[in-house]
Amino acid sequence: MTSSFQAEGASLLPHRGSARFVCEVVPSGGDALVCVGRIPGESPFSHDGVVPGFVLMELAAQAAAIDIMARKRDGRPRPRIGYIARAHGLSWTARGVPADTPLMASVLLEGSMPPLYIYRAAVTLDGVEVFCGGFSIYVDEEAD
Amino acid sequence: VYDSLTSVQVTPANPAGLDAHVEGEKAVEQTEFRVSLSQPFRVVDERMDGDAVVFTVVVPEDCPFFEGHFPERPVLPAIGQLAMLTALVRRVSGSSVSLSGIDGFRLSRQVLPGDRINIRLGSQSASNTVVFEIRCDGAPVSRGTVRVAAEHGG
Repeated sequence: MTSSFQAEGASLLPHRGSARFVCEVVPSGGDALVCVGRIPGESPFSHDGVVPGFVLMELAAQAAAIDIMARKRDGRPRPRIGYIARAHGLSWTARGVPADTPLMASVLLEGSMPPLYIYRAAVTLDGVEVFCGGFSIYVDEEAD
Repeated sequence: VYDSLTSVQVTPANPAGLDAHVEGEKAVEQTEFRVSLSQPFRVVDERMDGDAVVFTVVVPEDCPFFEGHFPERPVLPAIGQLAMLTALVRRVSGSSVSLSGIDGFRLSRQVLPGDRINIRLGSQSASNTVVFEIRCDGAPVSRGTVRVAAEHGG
């Protein structure tokens, strides 16, 4: 992944406003894509500064969407809309996580058969894993 | 925490929160709930179906979960479905529980603004799990098994 893509990766997400959870892509030095993210306090999923743990699935999915775009860059990159199609073995903290707090999301592509991409993901808060599991993303190739 | 739906009272856990309203000619109960969320969905019906509980839920067109997801193509994010499931599991269990995981989550159809969906919750032999199925206009939207934990646990 190029440094320019690291800089622009989050901006390629079609999510807007408080629906965008990924802040930036960070160098990982491995096969996984790593992002810094946060759940905005103004998100409708945030209440009194606490976000339910299941919301981290969306953060991980957005990280996966960036990874997919990074792999599909043929010419000018453009936002792609993707949807979670399957998820298995997902676990998250029942306590929730604080809003507006940096989170590290790591996603690793386990397999693909476009337009389906299979990922394993983890999200940490202060180095403690608060979400992990696998999911598949379906990319809508027709949508702009 | 949540052993069996068959032992759960499906009458509203919080009668004081109910409002009657008229939909067509049929008066139904409407509950607005806020479960760590800022926007209510509307539960317009609930009934038993064998050991399962089936809710009819209207997803308002102005539901903020659609905001930014996506600007010109609003779709309820999968976590919106999990928010609804959290609220409904709490409703039938009458306790402060949260979801702690999910297995076999299969999504087949998108939920759009204004959709009226049916959410079926059933028990499973394993403790602390609830099987669910969401349908819209008879078509499957999603299904899976959620794990339930005490809100301040794990």
